[in-house]
Amino acid sequence: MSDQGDDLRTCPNCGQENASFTLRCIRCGQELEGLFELEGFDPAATSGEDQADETFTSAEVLASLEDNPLIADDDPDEGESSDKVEESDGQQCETDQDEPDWLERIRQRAREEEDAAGELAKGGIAMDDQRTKEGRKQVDEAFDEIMRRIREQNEREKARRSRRVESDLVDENGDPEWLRRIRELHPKQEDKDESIEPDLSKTDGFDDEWTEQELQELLQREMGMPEVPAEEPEEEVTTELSTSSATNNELEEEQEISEERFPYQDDEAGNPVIIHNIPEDEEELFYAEPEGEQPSDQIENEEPTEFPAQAEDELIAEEVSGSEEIQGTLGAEGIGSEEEEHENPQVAENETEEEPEQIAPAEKSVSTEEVLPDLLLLKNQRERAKVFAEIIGQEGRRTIAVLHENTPKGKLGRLVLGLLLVLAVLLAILLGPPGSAELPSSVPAAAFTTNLESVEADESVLIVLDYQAATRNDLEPLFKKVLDFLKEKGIQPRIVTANPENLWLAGDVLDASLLPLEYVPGGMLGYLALGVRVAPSWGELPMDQALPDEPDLFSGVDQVILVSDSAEFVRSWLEQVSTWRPWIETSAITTAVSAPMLLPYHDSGQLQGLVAGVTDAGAFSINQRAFQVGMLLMIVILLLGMIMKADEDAQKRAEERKR
Amino acid sequence: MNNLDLLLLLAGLVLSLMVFSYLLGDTLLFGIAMYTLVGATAGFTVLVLVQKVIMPMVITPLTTFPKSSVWLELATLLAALLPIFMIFKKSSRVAGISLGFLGGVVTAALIVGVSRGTLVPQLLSIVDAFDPSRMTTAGLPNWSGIFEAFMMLAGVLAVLFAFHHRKTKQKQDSLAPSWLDGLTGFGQIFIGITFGAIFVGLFSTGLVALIAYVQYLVDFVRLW
Amino acid sequence: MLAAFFFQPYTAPYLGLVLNWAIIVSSVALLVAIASLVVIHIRFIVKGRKGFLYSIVLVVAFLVTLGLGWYSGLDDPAYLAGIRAILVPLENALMALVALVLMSAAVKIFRVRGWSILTVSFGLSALVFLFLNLGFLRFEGNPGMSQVVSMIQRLPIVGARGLLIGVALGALLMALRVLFGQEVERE
Repeated sequence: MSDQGDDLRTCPNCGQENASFTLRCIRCGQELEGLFELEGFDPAATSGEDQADETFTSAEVLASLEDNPLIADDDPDEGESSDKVEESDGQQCETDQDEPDWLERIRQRAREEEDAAGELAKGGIAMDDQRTKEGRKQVDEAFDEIMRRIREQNEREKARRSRRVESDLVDENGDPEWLRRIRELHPKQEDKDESIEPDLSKTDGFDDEWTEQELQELLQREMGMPEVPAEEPEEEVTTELSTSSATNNELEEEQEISEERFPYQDDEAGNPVIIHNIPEDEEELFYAEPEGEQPSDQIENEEPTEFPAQAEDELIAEEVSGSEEIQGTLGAEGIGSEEEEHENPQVAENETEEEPEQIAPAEKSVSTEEVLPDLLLLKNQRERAKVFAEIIGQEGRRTIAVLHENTPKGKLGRLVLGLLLVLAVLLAILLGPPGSAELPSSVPAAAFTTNLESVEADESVLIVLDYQAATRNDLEPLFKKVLDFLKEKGIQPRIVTANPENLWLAGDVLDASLLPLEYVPGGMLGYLALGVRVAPSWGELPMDQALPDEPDLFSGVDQVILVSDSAEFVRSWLEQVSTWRPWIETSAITTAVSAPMLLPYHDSGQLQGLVAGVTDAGAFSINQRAFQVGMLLMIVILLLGMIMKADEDAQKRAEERKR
Repeated sequence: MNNLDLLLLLAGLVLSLMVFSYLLGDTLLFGIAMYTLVGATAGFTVLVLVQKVIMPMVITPLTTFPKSSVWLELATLLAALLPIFMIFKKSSRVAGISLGFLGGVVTAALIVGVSRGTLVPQLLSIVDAFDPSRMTTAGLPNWSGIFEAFMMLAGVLAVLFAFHHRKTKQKQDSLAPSWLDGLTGFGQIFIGITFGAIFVGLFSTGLVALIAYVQYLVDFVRLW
Repeated sequence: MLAAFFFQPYTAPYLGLVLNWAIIVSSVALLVAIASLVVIHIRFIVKGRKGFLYSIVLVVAFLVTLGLGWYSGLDDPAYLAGIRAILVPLENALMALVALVLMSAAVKIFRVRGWSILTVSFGLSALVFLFLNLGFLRFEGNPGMSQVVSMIQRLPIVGARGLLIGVALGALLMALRVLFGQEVERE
């Protein structure tokens, strides 16, 4: 199918040629879709896929027929072809047997009812009249071939779409799929928008309606026509879209450009003629969507983060599906070329360079009568255009921060290093003794031990738990040690937590010691409420019900031991609770990662002691050798990173010197 | 070990192995493990909040009016009901009252706590280092104490300045005098040292967890 | 609230009451947030949104945990042991994963961030603390070296104190801004 035939479709009522994707005739308003509704053909009777294919391909029928030079309206060899019709009449009977039933019925009806279904049959009759017997055979063969190609293209497109959606939701720039599709549809439009932005800023900012310029460019892009710079001003186009003088000027310029590009746009009366590719009714575009595999679904799944409004979703869906439908109605090659543009911009560029030559004859063949203005935008179209303009305005703005790039190489490196560490740890565990070297305690850890040893038998100790299961191996051995030590001294500590996780987590430790664990509601706010608590004269506070045994948590407490993996929790405790009970000595068991941020509190005397994980206290409940192996490996890796960077820099410097 | 324990053990093992699929990328298995964790944690939290907070603090007092004032109980009930309006879009302004109240309480607690619990003690600690009793030992200068006190003061000021300077430089993109850059660099040294210690601490905690996990796997295999 | 904090202990009972109400509000707000999370995921499942498998997993885990806990009671040892058996290895594996990821981060850090005062001091500090954690160095008989090691171990205090004071000042300013409504206006 050539590009010429794709562009125009003849109205069966008035004979006006319309763009192939136009759903109504631009002259008489006749619904062009009706032309493709086939009598006697029940789409519901077929399977979903067939139905979709049939509907889709029926839209192609006319285009394919038009495409054939034998039936072209402006075919200069019309007289010759009519002669051939008579010559090949006899051959037609043979080829009829191979044709589909519904096609035969159309022809039959067209023959019988010259003006019956009116406009429906008229077009067919008009076409049939042009056919020769010999031509019919060729047309039918061409038709079958086209049908086959369209189906193939359609299936390829479906497969590609599903692949694309799955794999490329967000590209390396963090741009979502829907935005990229819009860019692909309007690559030059965005540049244009940027270039004209200063002018628009003179008015009310960004113009949120479709301008004629945009429509022209859009159509040109759809038709693959080259852009021609404006040279001399001609007539001014009056539309209801112009919102400002600045925009009007641009429209005038654009009109000049478009008139140069489309010399046929002026009709006989000399009125300016504008072609645009916005269909009259967006919903009709969905008629040929195959198998319900609408891009709208895909886009909904992709969940555009910054545009949650349904209208925007619809817009995007319609823009995408609409454009795809347009491509679909343009024919198989149209789809193919679109795909190639998506897949390979290089190829697409080459094609756009070649296209003007191919399209030139089509431009010549179109008379000025054949294209009429269709300037009015429907209200909903305008609204959608507004949202669309906003979406384009988002161009270049990252909505979701991309923290790092996940390259396959990076993943492989991470995997290799991870496996290396796991292997090293595994070997250290399986081979040799676990190790029992006594590590020297740090100063805060020594202070913790001293502080704990200073606790007398008659003193009250409160232990506050706030840790996750992830860090239990770093904390629970120390917690157990503390409990054992207190038990030896005959002290029964009170153990509380405000972290729900500790209710099930601490069971391992507390079940053995038969100590109850109490829950304090409200997290740090709860501890603060208990810290400032004074029994009111009017009765009970709500929290008194939550701690029925002893509502005053800090009554008589001399020592508080915090068991927490969070420096934030310990800091909050020192800020919110210790300040109200300064006479209570506080010490903490925490993880190695929290220790650096808590050392200043030990240095300032707010924390009497601090133990940072099993390594700090020398209480290795895990394989010590494995720990040392892991640490050594990290030293090597860190050094390796430094060396690699130094080597990279040296290579760069050497290259610079060479230059 | 009964069947249920074995089943739970296997479930835990499989889910934890799924976590390691993250090394191959953000895979489906990793997602399943994460969503399981989130779902189970959320379920347990709801249970705790209802049974340990809402029931005893809101519902139970309503049944024991004589213990406290009726008005106080009603106020407590109102405090519990207001946030529920967050669910409904139309009445979310009503919920805003309770959230505003909560924000006010937290802000006040923050102001008091931060100033009394961190700012004052930490600043005093820097000043205390210059206490003559700490800077001398038996009538002689304690050089290490003096060095440490000055280092602490200079270091803390440099760190604070490094942050401030970085912010203003980002904003103004101006050329700062070289001594300011030097001070910033001095602050960055201390920040780098602290971050290095945190990095090692994080790795140490992770390594302990890894060793415990590998040990868990080894024990599991040995169990069979 | 601020006044109640400053005029202690006269305002202590009222302060306690207000804090109790705040606890109730925050708890109910947390419940609403969780309910919202679950409802959103149920909606994802109904709509068949991409990734709804995760939503199914989340909702099932939520309902099973909640249902079993409601049925058996929050303090039931078997129920708690069941949760422990599932979640402890899961969270443990997550923490172990941190160690593995840090390995690759250690390689990348200099290549990504380049050489600067911050990265060099970071790298050297990390190496020193890693080495100290190995436990190979013993200076029991050498008080001078012990003091040096002790000083090195105290070095992070300087940076941490600076950070803490900076964070505290920032938090204080932010809180005052919120209190006077400036933050809301700015937003």
